[in-house]
Amino acid sequence: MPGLGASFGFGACTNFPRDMRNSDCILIMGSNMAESHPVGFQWVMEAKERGATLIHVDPRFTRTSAVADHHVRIRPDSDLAFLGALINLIIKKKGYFTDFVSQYTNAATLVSEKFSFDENTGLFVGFDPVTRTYDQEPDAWDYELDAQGMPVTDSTLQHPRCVLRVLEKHFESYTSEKAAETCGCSPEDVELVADLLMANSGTDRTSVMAYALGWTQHTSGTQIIKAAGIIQLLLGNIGRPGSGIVALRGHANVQGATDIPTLFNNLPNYIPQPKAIPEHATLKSLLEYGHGLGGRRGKGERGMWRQEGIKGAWAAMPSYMVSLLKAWYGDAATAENEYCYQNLPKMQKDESEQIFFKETLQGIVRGMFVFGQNPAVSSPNSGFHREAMRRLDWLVVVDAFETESAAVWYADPNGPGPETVGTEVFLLPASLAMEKGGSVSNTERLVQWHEPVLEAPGDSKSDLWYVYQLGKRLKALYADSTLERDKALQQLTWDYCKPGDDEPDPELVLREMNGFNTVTGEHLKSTGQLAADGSTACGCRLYCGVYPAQDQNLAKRRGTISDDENFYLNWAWAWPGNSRILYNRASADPEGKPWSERKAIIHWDSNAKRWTGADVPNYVLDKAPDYRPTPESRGMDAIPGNAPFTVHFDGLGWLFAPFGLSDGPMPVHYEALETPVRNTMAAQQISPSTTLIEDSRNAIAAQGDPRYPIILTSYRVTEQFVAGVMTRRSSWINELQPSLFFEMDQELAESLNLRTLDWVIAESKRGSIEGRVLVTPRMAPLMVCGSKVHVVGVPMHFGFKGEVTGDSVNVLTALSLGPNSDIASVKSIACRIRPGRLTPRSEHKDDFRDAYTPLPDAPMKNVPWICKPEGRLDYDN
Amino acid sequence: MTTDTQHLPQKPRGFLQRVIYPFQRGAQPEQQEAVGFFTDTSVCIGCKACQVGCKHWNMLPGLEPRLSGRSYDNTLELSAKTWRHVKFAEVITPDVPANNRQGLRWLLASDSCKHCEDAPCLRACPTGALIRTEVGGVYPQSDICNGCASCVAACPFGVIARSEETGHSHKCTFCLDRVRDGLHPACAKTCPAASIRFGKLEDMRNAARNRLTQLQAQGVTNARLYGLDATENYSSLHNIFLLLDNPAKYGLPEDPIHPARRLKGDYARAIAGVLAGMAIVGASVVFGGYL
Amino acid sequence: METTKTMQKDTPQSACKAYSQDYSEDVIPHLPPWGVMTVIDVWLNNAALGLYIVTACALLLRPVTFGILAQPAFVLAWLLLVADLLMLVADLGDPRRFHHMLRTFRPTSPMWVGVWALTLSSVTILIPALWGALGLMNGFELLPPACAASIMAVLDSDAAVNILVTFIALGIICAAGGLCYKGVLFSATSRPVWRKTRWFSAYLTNGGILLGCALFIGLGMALHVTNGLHKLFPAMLVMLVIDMLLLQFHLRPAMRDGSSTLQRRNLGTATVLDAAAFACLLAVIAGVGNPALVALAVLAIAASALMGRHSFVLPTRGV
Ligand SMILES: Nc1nc2c(c(=O)[nH]1)N[C@H]1C(S)=C(S)[C@@H](COP(=O)(O)OP(=O)(O)OC[C@H]3O[C@@H](n4cnc5c(=O)[nH]c(N)nc54)[C@H](O)[C@@H]3O)O[C@H]1N2
Ligand SMILES: Nc1nc2c(c(=O)[nH]1)N[C@H]1C(S)=C(S)[C@@H](COP(=O)(O)OP(=O)(O)OC[C@H]3O[C@@H](n4cnc5c(=O)[nH]c(N)nc54)[C@H](O)[C@@H]3O)O[C@H]1N2
Ligand code: SF4
Ligand code: SF4
Ligand code: SF4
Ligand code: SF4
Ligand code: SF4
Ligand SMILES: [Mo]
Repeated sequence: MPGLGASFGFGACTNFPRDMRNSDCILIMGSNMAESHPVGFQWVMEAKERGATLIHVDPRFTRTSAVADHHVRIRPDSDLAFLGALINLIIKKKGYFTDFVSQYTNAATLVSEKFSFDENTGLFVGFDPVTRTYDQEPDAWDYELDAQGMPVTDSTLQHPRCVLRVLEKHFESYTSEKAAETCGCSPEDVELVADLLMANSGTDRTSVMAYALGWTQHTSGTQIIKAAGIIQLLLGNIGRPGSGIVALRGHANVQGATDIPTLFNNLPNYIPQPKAIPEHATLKSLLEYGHGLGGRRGKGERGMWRQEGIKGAWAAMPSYMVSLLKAWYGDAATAENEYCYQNLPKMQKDESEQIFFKETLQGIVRGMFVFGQNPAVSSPNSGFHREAMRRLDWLVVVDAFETESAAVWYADPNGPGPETVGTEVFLLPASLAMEKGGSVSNTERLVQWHEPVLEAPGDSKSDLWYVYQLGKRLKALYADSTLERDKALQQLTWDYCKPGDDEPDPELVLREMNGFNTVTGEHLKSTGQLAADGSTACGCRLYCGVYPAQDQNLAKRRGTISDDENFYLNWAWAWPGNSRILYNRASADPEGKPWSERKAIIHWDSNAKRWTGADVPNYVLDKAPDYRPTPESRGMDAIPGNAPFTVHFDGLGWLFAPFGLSDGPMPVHYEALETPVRNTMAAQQISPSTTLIEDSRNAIAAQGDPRYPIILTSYRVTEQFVAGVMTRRSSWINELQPSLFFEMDQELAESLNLRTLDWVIAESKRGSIEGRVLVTPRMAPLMVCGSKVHVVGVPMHFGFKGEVTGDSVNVLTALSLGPNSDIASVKSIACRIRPGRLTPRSEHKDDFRDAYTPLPDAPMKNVPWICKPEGRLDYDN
Repeated sequence: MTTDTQHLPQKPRGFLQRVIYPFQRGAQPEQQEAVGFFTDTSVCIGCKACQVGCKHWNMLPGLEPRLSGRSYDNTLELSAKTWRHVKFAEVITPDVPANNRQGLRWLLASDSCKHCEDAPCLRACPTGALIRTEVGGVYPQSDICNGCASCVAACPFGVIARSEETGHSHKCTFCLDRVRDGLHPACAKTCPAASIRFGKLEDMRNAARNRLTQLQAQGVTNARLYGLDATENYSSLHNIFLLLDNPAKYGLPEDPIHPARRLKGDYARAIAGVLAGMAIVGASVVFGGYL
Repeated sequence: METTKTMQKDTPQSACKAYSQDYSEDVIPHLPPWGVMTVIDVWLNNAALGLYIVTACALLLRPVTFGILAQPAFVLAWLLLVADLLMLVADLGDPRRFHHMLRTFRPTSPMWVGVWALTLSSVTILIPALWGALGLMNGFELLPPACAASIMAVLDSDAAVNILVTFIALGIICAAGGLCYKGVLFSATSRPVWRKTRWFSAYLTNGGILLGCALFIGLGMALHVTNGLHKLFPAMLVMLVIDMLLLQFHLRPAMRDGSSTLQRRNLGTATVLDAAAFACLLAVIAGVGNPALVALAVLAIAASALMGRHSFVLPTRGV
């Protein structure tokens, strides 16, 4: 989530869902929270009951819209135009929280003279059309620095190059009329949302935003979130109760998966994976480069990014890195051998999921492990993904069920006969969450431990067991190797079992994540204890403190929660340091007094000389509000006592991100990859740094291609869960949402002569799927730039395995990598729809796209009675 | 509320006991304060968790999966296998303020047995299988029911139904097996939006009134309560609804009529029919010869 | 803040066309799973109890005239009643639990009233039926010759006659109950159509006695015991008129928006059959001495009763 990181510091949900009840206005945009996060949504309902206004901006009228005060319908992938107009209105109407903006954000900081944005092309300075990256003019997005190297500011906010004025100018053209035209809503809608947000922000009121895939699954996803960050910074809605940006996560442990992470380009805790570049050749040179490695543009000598290496939280990078290497390589890691830094692979290029599937298809990748994922259904362009998996030599699927991915070699209705597939597939039984112990880190960064409550059936084992065993066997296999590269395996510590036990113990993993003193073995208590001299080991520095002593696994805490308690600090443990609201220093004014009683969290206790309050301060506890650093100050000392965003080197929230984003310091509205619409805001049609995967199976419809006039969007419904592997096996769920459907508006249905429950075929440039029609007023045509656009919605949960089956919408979607986060755009697909059903595979021997085996007419099995509906009082049997 | 099951008759063993068993009476459990539901549809998010929660707790089978085409409602009705059912009505009502430019509203509501204060099903049951429990619910004892289906025709809300598989009638039990142990019903417990609220009936009645006042103050003039007060034709309910439109839109009878209100009159007419018939036949037999 | 809350009313509602996909068109109360067996059950109930009541009335009022026909009529009534009871039990979801209805006191339940009435009827009617059976056996010389005389002597005794008369009278009360509840079972429900028919129970009782008359006459003709049967014709004419009136002006309107055309047509057919029976009987009274006409009337009445009950008990849909 670089969008959040570039605004506030941490790439994580700033507040927590339960805190939404303290909000006065809730903007849910790009998420269908009621359907996707029904339990968390109770806090939204509670806020509403307390009088808050709820706004839902979504292309569809969903169950969230049903309970919202205002639903605004916009075209998929037009969010930036909408948010841009909000920014414009807020600045134009002076609706921003002046004290907050001028002191807590970089609004007053001057931007380099070299910076410019070309409104006609829609590109920032420094774009290289050949590499399609911003690597020219590396310093052009930086601040203007004075002689001492400190940023120049203008506290009057009048200087034309101060960030606020730059921002104002940048969004000048985003008028509500233009936004309405682009989004297909009305200008009043835009103004209404702006007015509501402004009316509900300030010293005594706060507004919160929540988003999920409706913002992320776009090529410009990161910038959409950046725009939201700008709005919340302008309105002072950050670090305060009922404020912030709630990034709703998907699977239970998505936050954990990014913390640890399962990403290709990060080491644990957002430390960038070293690259195969000269600057990363040694640990020393890597550490000199500081954090700004990942998102940093260019190699400018004086680049702002270098500040991060010396100021703010990232200045502690050497201790993070050395402790991490100590955790992984133990005694083998010494100062002399760079703490085994050379054991880390150096990344040569983008290795994200879509790329390695491309390489799989090309025959470069020969084997694959799939743990708890179902790419045959859930990955964009499933035809491509399925074909790639069939080119593997071997495929290991670790799952509780036979997923579509495990069955892709024989059961894919679009695939060839099993006799032509050479892949050796191993399906290993995985135990599910309730069958194993461990921790889960959720949306609100809360690390919660759970114990097994059931015994896993048969041979099922936990993922930890599989990975541990794999590691053990690999270590044994390479034990005698003398090759330099195999040291990475030989030196790896691999001791997750209690003495005499062969079952890996998740608590020992947590211990390594928490960190310990390498000499005494004592658990570490906080990140502050990490040292760069090898005396500490820590596998996950943000989790430092979750397990402060052998007998104190704080993730297991289950304090009672009373209704009027906001922070329930005794329930489990949240990173960082158990703070529940990030940047909560911002809940107090520069002098350290809460902005208002109603919205108080922490304050400066001048007697005790400490920050104190209801939440754990996400701040240096004894840093007085009047503390000011000198130009020589380093690390956290370089952050003044009135600056809440301590991860940023200047301690400020960034309306303008001098670095951290590869595609621009401020958002620009670009169009979706496939759309009938020309970009209304600039000449540049799609986000300039988008990476496309060139393959005949991944053809992209040109803008306005009349053959694909309809925008198809995919989403989830409450009743099913993502690829449906777990839910499509439960008759209690299947009766509720039994099959794929196409939600469409009445006008489109009439023009195609369709009625509810008719069969239709939807085709994109990648493939075709079939399903039944659901005509509903919840979908409506949009007037975009004077012409009518129809949006059709399709749930994403279906596949060819399970008790109910159906086509996967990802057969239609395209591979594409948005800048910053490599996410594919699956929310806006150009397609056409015609009545009818697909023809059987036998009639289409060659054509990959139309090949199809029809699913049974009613893919409904006679579901046996699970049991009789007799109460336990039945004496008959 | 206790976990005490002493008052239940012994499980019958052997043929004789089975015959005798229905004639046995256990001790009456002590009467307790009545409980009730307050279903606030204005906060329902249509997640159907209550429906699954009910099926899960009561181990009810899933129906044959079938896309109904009626909004997101694919189970369509309460039945012997479905004791809770979430309804989805898509309406555009020009006279009611909506939250969007289309004037569209999506009415979501979770429905189950109303546990009528004066329950027609209970009155119609010839076996005593339906009983009023110690907490005021109407409980179907499936070990007594003989499947005569009188209750099915009696219920004005289309709640109770006879199962083809068991031959017995089934419906929401008010989760007596949970409530008795101090737990909340599975549906109410599962509801993430606090749309199904459960508690002492009096509290629920107050909560319903308060919520209505609150909503009306917020300008939701179309909100109304259903089943709070007895009407001319029907008793009050132990499952009170807050609706955002006409009850008919939610599949609730606007003016339910208690069938037993007609019982006496219908019997009277039947008896009149018999007496008249006998009189006519008698007269005819006696005097017919003279015609 | 207050202003923002009410902004939703700015929505230009006037532009919206009313639309509704809701539940207002649905039939809410469930249709009990009562089918053809129930129809036959109703018919058998009416036939058995109607026949019994007619026979009892005739016998008590004109013992000499109807003494002989009453004997097979009682037997037939009892057999029909037993058949009805079997049908009723079989129609239950769980027939093995029939007796659960007998262990309770639930007068608010028409089903309970009916089951008790029918059960008691089957007991009380058993006495006249036994009397009839013995008389018949004697008539056909089926009794063991040795004891035939003594049995008949006992039956002819004053005490036996008193007992018989008492049971016949009790039987009338029970049978009347058994006849009455059936209609209430349908009309005192929440089902569309049924719930609107306040006179359905009267239709069944009147019709039941009419059917009883018809069966009584039919039985007499079949056994060639036609003594005094014509005395019932005027009663039947009156009851046919009532039947037709109820069918045409009560049941048919009630079914207007609740059932299929076929069902409503069947109700019409039932009325036509009634009318035909009426015409036949009128002709016979007027002096057309053809027994076929009587037989036709009997059959028409029986068929009309079946049709009327069939189309009424099996509504397809409703409002
Ligand atoms: N019941 C259930 N819950 C789930 C899941 C599930 O499968 N089932 N999945 C979990 C997972 S993995 C995730 S990631 C989350 C996802 O949670 P959500 O993001 O809420 O899920 P989606 O339904 O994919 O998309 C949300 C909404 O975005 C809208 N949308 C599409 N395009 C745009 C756009 O351009 N702009 C805007 N503003 N909106 C747009 C869609 O209409 C949809 O209503 O849910 C989690 N929760
Ligand atoms: N078109 C379109 N495509 C999408 C989306 C969309 O909105 N539209 N959403 C995207 C999003 S946000 C996501 S998160 C993905 C989800 O895509 P996936 O992650 O592929 O989908 P899931 O169904 O969650 O797959 C989880 C699998 O893990 C198994 N499993 C569960 N627990 C365990 C365990 O403990 N161990 C192991 N080994 N296995 C386990 C389950 O049985 C299941 O097969 O889909 C993406 N794809
Ligand atoms: S499935 Fe779990 S994470 Fe998702 S809404 Fe329900 S409780 Fe929350
Ligand atoms: S709603 Fe129906 S089933 Fe429930 S108590 Fe009332 S009459 Fe009985
Ligand atoms: S079906 Fe069962 S519960 Fe219903 S009335 Fe008959 S005996 Fe009672
Ligand atoms: S109270 Fe129990 S039985 Fe009734 S609907 Fe709720 S969960 Fe189902
Ligand atoms: S669980 Fe609650 S919110 Fe969900 S459908 Fe049921 S009543 Fe509505
Ligand atoms: Mo996700």
